[in-house]
Parts: sequence; C-alpha cells; structure tokens
Amino acid sequence: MPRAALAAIAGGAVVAAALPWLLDDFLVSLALSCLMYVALATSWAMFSGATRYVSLGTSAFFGLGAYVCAWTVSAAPWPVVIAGGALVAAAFAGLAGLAILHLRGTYFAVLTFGMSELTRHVVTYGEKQYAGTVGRVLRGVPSNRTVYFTVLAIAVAAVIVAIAVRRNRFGLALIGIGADEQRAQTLGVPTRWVKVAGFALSAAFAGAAGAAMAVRWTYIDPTAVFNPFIGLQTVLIAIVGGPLSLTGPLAAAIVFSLLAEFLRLQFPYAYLIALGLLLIVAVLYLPHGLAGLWRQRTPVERAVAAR
Amino acid sequence: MTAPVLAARGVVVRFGGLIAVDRVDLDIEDRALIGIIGPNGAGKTTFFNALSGLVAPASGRLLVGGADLTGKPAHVFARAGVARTFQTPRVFADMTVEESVRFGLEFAGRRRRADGAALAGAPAILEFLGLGDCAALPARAITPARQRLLEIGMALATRPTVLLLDEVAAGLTEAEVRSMARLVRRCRDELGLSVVWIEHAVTVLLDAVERVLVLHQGRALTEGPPAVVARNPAVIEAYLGDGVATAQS
Repeated sequence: MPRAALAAIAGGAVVAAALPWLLDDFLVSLALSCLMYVALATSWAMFSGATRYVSLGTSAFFGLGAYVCAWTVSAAPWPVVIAGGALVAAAFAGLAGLAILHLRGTYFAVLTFGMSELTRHVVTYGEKQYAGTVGRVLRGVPSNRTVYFTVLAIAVAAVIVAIAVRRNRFGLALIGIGADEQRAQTLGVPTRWVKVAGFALSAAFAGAAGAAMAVRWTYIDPTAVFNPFIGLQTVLIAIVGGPLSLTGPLAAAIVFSLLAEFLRLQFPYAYLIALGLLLIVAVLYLPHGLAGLWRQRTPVERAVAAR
Repeated sequence: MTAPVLAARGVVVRFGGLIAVDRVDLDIEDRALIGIIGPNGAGKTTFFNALSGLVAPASGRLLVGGADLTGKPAHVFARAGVARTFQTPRVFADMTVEESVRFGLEFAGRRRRADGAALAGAPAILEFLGLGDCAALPARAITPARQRLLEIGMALATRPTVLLLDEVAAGLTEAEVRSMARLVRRCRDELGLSVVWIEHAVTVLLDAVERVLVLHQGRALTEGPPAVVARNPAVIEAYLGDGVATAQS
C-alpha cells in the first residue's frame, strides 16, 4: 500500500501541477476548487471519519484561516500567512475541543455548527468595533499561480498526513475511539488528548486552506468565509466518498467539485436538490460511500458475508 | 506484608441522590481470586466502574500498587495494571480478533512488562484462550461465547496485574460456564494475576474463588471464604436462598 499510494499521490500531484499550463483560467479555478475540497474532505475524514465525531465546524476553521490571511497578508511573507492560518485554526479547535469533545453524536454536530456561527459573529463584531468595517479588501496578494500551488501543497500534505495517521498508533487510537470510546480508554488510550489533538490537526488543514483561498476573493467578509455551506459540503463529500476510506473523500472531492460546478451552471435551481438527494442515497445505500463500490472485499468481509 | 495490588477504601459512588456504592472496602492482594456476588442493583458493576477509573468515587480512595489513583481517568488505571471486561462484550466489531488483542498491546500493554511468555504477543494470548483458529475473523463474526473470551483477551493484552471480570459467564451454556470457571482460575494460576469475578452463577463462582464479597444495596454485606459466606444467614436471606447454602455444606 504505501509505495503504491505514494506513487499515486506523486502522479496526481504532478498532473495537478501541470494544469495551469494546460488549461484556461476557468478550468484552473475549477481545479483549484477540487484541490481545496480534497484538503478539506481528507482532513475532515481523518478525524471525524475515524472517531465518528461528525464535525460541522470546518467553516469556522476555514473562516479563521481566511481572516488570519486578511490581517497579515500585506505584512508577512506568504508561507507565514498560511502557517498562521493553520496554527490559529488548530489552536482554536484545540480549545473548543477541550470544551465540547465530551459530547457525542448529534450534540457534538450541533455544537460545532453553533461554534461556526459564534465565530462568525465574534469576528463580525470585532471587525466593526476595532477596524470600523465588516469586509476587507486584500492587498499585496500573491499571483493566482502561487495560490494554486499553495492549495495543491496543502491538499498533498493533507493526503500524506492522513495516510501517516492511519498507519500509526495515533490513527489506531482514533479508530478505537470511533468503535467504542470507553473500551478504548480502559485499554489505555488517553481518549481526551487523542480527540483534542486529532480535532486540532484536522482543523489545521482547513485553516491553511482558508488562508490560501481568501486571496482569491480579493474582498472578504464574514458571511463569505464563514459560509456554513463550506462545512456542510465537506461533510457531504466525505460521507458520499466513504468517511472511513482515504481514496473515497479524495475522489469524491474531485467528482463533486466538477459536478457542483456543472450543475450550478446548467441547472442553477436544481443544484442543491441534486446534492441533497446524493447525500440521502449515500447514507441509505452506501454505508462505505462510493469507496465501497470499487473497493475489493477483504478476506474478513468475505468471511462475514459467507456466514 | 506487601501492599495490595488494588485497594478500595471506603469507596462511595453517587448518581444524583442515589448512592450506588456505599463505603465499600476491598483489598485485592497479589494472586488473589475474589468473587463478588449480590442481587441485581447491588452496585457490583458500579463498583467495578470505580475500580477501573470509569467513574470517580464521590469519596473514598483507590490505591493501585500503593499509588493513589482516585479521580484519575480510566487509561491511567489501565496503564497501572487494572484491566476489565464488560457485562455485554464490547469488542471492536470491525476489527479482526487478532487486531482487537493487538489494540491493548499497543496502548496500556506497551509500557508494561510481560511476565512470562503467555502475554508476550497477540498469538500467545489467543492461544491461551483457545481463539487461535479465529484470529483473522472480524470480532462481530464470532459466537457470543467466543466474544466473551475475546473480551478477556483484550483485557489480558494490557498486561495487567489485576483482572476485573464482569459476568463473563452470563448467557453461556452450562458446559461453557464450567470452562469459563477453569479459564478464570488459569488466569490466576498460570498468568499470576489477581482476579476479581462478578457472576450470577453463584454455585460455579463459589467453587472457583477463594474469597467472596457480598454486595447488597450498595453496601458490603459480608466478606470471607465461600463456605462461610454461603452459610451466612444475612446472605441467604438477601440473595442466595437455601439451595446454595445446602450445596456448599
């Protein structure tokens, strides 16, 4: 798996890296959107897929990253801006996680959603109070090509980290928490810290993506960057793709971004209806997501099926 | 005299106004084999939850190997050598039998020394339990009786000094119950563990263990050798009935 996976990632990254020279601006911006959702869905599944703590908080981390960018991009070097977005989002997720990660299921999902809204309002209030404005025009932004390669790097990093996590004890601890949290704890997993660390790590990628994507808008305001749709679409992609797999969310992010763009252009009114139906079908009939369709059955599953 | 491997001193567990465990003391010495009996709702499982760190006692102390771990989370108890099973087997359904055992070895068992070869690795543990032939099956695909064995295997993988068994014989056939009792003894005799066993199959339990604690309405009714406890009039009245008392004499 690791060598083949690394080869596949390297191949995919090379193809993605060549796109700015091969495609026109519209298609490159479509590819950028694909890469953004690869980063968001892969990092979401790394924590929420494994632990079954369904988070709707991606919008908060993304928006915080975008605002870190807006506050610092004219003064700080670009890599520092991106790292700042990742760190602020991770720190925020860590603190929020300490407060809410003892709640499971619906309560956790609703609270993460509330957390996104709260963050949006706090930023709006802070900007009005101290900056005297709600939106910000971004100045001194890097070129479109730099942004593209930054998001590509974030997406590749998200995939590599997701693979690394799956293969080590930290990932095993996350899986154990998803399977039976109390049992995992009685077997020696420090569940609280593992959850907080996993939540923060996952948020770092959303923060980095938010910081990178912010400059694409040139003008940002809280409504745009804390858009709950970003968080919902991330969850939708990961669940349709298969939250427990690695390739599922990755492939679904690509298919989804293309499909979403196509639907939005061709059927602007049916767009959200189609996405909603897809989610319902996925939840009802594809417990392992699209990944379950092409995935070969393991010997274990054949044994279960034969029973 | 060495310190008990696990000791409960005046442990109280409250759920709101209800006192589920009321000032219970228990000293678990090295290689002790102790049974806990009592009617439903006597607080047996809640007492186990306190002993394994899943609920913090409202008052009282929990000493593991002499160290005070009162109020610490469950993984600290596991790392200190306290392992447990659950009444309804809580195996990791999607993992294989071998992976489930490896889980304990990867976490609490990782820092603990294996005394002897029996707990050296997952194959040895599965061999000890007689689960070697289903190592590659997913935990959800094996029979409930074997899931109970797997639960014990997952607990053993933490390389414990104390093993807390919560109704591991519930729902088993009579033959399976007897073989479970043999297994419990082997955990003490061959692995050198201290074992505490909660069970409703009182006759089997009283035959297997060397000391019995009787809980009733959260309190320790009495504690002593099985033969003595089985003749205790208060125990007979509260729980046993005449049949067991006669069988034990």
